[in-house]
Amino acid sequence: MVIMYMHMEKMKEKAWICSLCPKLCRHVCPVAQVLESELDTPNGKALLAYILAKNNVEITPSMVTHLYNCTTCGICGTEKWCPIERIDMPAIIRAARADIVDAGKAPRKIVELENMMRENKNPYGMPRENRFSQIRVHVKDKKDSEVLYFVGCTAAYKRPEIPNAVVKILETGKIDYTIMGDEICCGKPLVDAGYIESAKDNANELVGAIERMHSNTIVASCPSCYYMLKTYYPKEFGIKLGIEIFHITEYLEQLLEKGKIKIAKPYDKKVIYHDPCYLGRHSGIYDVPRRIIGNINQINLVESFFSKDNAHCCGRGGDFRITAPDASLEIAKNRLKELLENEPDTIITTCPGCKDQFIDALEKMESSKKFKIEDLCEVIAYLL
Amino acid sequence: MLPNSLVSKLEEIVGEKNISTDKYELLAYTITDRSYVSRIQLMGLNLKPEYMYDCVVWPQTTEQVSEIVKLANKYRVPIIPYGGGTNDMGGTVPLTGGIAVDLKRLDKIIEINERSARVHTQAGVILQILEWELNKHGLTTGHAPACMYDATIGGTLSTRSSGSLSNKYGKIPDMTLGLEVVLPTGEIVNIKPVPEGSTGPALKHLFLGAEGVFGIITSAVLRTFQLPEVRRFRSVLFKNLHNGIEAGRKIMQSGISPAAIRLSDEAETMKNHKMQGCYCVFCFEGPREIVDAEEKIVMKICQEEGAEDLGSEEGKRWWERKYYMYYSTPRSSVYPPEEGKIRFAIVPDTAASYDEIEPLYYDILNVVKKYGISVYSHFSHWYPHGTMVYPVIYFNVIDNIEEAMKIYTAVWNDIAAVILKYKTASLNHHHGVGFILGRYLDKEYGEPLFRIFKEIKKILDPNGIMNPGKLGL
Repeated sequence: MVIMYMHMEKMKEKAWICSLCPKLCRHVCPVAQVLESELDTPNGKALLAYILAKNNVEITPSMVTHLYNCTTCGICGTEKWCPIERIDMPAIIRAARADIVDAGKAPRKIVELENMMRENKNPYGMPRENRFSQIRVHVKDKKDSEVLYFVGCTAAYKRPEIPNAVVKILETGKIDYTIMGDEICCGKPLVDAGYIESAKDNANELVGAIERMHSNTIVASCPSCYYMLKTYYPKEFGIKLGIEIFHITEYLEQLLEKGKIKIAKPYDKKVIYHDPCYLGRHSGIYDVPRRIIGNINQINLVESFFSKDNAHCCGRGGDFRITAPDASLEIAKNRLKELLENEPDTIITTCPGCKDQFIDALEKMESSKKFKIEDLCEVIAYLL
Repeated sequence: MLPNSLVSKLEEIVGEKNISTDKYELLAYTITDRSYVSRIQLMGLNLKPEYMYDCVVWPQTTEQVSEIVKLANKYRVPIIPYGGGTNDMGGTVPLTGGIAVDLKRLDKIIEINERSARVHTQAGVILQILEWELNKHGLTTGHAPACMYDATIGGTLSTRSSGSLSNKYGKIPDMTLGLEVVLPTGEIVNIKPVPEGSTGPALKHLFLGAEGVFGIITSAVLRTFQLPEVRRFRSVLFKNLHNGIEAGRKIMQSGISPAAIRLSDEAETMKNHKMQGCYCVFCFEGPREIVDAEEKIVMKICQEEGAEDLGSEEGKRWWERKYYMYYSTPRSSVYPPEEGKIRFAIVPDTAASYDEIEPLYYDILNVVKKYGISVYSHFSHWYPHGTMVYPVIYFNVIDNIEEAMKIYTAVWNDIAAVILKYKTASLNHHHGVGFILGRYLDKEYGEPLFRIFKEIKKILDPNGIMNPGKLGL
């Protein structure tokens, strides 16, 4: 029987180029820093992916393990570390995983993830009816509203304090907003898992629901949801939403500029900002959150040695927290240690996933330093 | 294939998760090594390469390394220490199979001692990661080789590596104060990080550049330097190579040490800068007053040698892009033009005294001419008594692995023969010799030195398990 790997076939040349490089990005790969196998470097994974495409060999359990050892953070392909080819490693990884799924060789936890996504429309297997049970939402399913606030699964189920803060901001600004009562996942966990067709079906379902709301604008507080709606859907699925899509930080800045909300209180703390991969590297938004923080009275914003496009990942993305939870939290600890070198009072991020990941990692860390981890929306909501 | 009992005992030492005999894992350790032998295998994507590891282990402590070595002795199984796998000379190619001891889990920076300007680091730390840690303290290793992003401290020590700024900070042996080494018998030895000593030969040199044949370096104490107040660049164009080399000689003998002098030959100047003559870039760094003085002296000497001043911009550009040539790209000259075809390059870097460097360089060009291949050279590590030439030789497109290996071996034979003719030339300046040049080490040392070298190996490694076939052993 001839085996063909259709998804990798398209990425074959890029994987080949990457596998010939002497690993000039291994030192920034968060996975390669906690898993030392040569096959866990971007180069090693590209080699495996290329072997699949070129030799059409059987997929082994070890190949599967290594090809799921990636957070899709994309630091390896930045201008600094991959200046000539700008290899899109997340695309190679997703293609290889899609072939693994098609071959029926996905890891058990990934198969379970797909089941949960199908049944519960979120990656945590939580009941759909509980999605907003912890959020003080006053407006649901209001048609023709100015803003559709897309909450996202992690914020809804794991970090409700973030949507609660967003709601407070929107209501303070007297914004005509709504949320979708039957909101479903954006599908990024499926894309990263390699279930591309399921992700596409999910996207079509979500987009249909969004369109039926007739809102003027979508605001997402999760960078992954934002990236999916704004970038991935049109690029990979050919699905273009006909309305404006903002990350909450972009929208916050507009509200501040228009004077709809005011930061009334000072924040006399040293803070450090952690760039989430899908807001920073994958969406190019580095300065907006920094500008907002910079406008807070008495705040002292310091920069990490590794920031902006060189910021290390929290370790959660690419379903890595699901397939390799221990290594994933090791990455989070590494990132926290980097951020704590500046001795901040508060670590500010703009991603519910990063916040949740850091809080989980902190439980396993020995640290005598006292500091808070907060989403920027929480800080702003507190200061209004 | 290793006996099951050995694999079980290795598992007992490092833990079940820290060992692999998986086919693709072993393939990656074998063919993503950067030596061109491996590259050729990679280009053919031969899934059953001639040389394969039997197993890879990831020890986490020096003691585990020691236990692994003791066990390998019992079973008489070869051991190859593995860092970033960046070597050019086949130093980590498993000629007789065996265990890859990957040291990258020995990744702790143990102590940064600012007062005594030293850092104690484990061998598996990647060079750039160590550099970043020191930068946070206003310090630098001063070591910036092209493999900075992917090589480990252990690898750099084991090949006597040299970085772009070696004129000022020295080669890695100059920067090394102390070492911890697991001997081939499994004993752990510590060489104290003394500032200097007069206690017989400095034994650290037995392990520096030894490519693992005399033991496994597990940690090192290295010098640190203050981050420079100023880093500045200046470029000039010499009319010919002789003038460029003369300028370099006079600069290095004048009592100053610009951090980098990179002189291109005519071919490289035309290729990279589209100019006739020999392009040269200088990097000056340190306290402002010293940099001012060095720049002035250097420009005066260049003027005496008839150089044209090209200003500072090109130098900055070189610094920012100095690693670009190592990236893989279809536009690069080592990229296979189409599936099944092979194209590669070799880099026979060598150093010689000022009396001999020019004749040696032209002899290398004559070898290249014989094979109808192209070569671009630069001179980038300078000393008061000589300099290094770095010819990058690009081969034509070759149809199959067998033919590629034949030509590859023939060119190396001829180049080695040329280098060995010269009294002051070194077979290699900073990549090590591995097995590619290790084959000629008997001629480099001569008798009775090479016999003594082999006797030392027998005493240290009676079972001959440590990285067999390298350094001519």
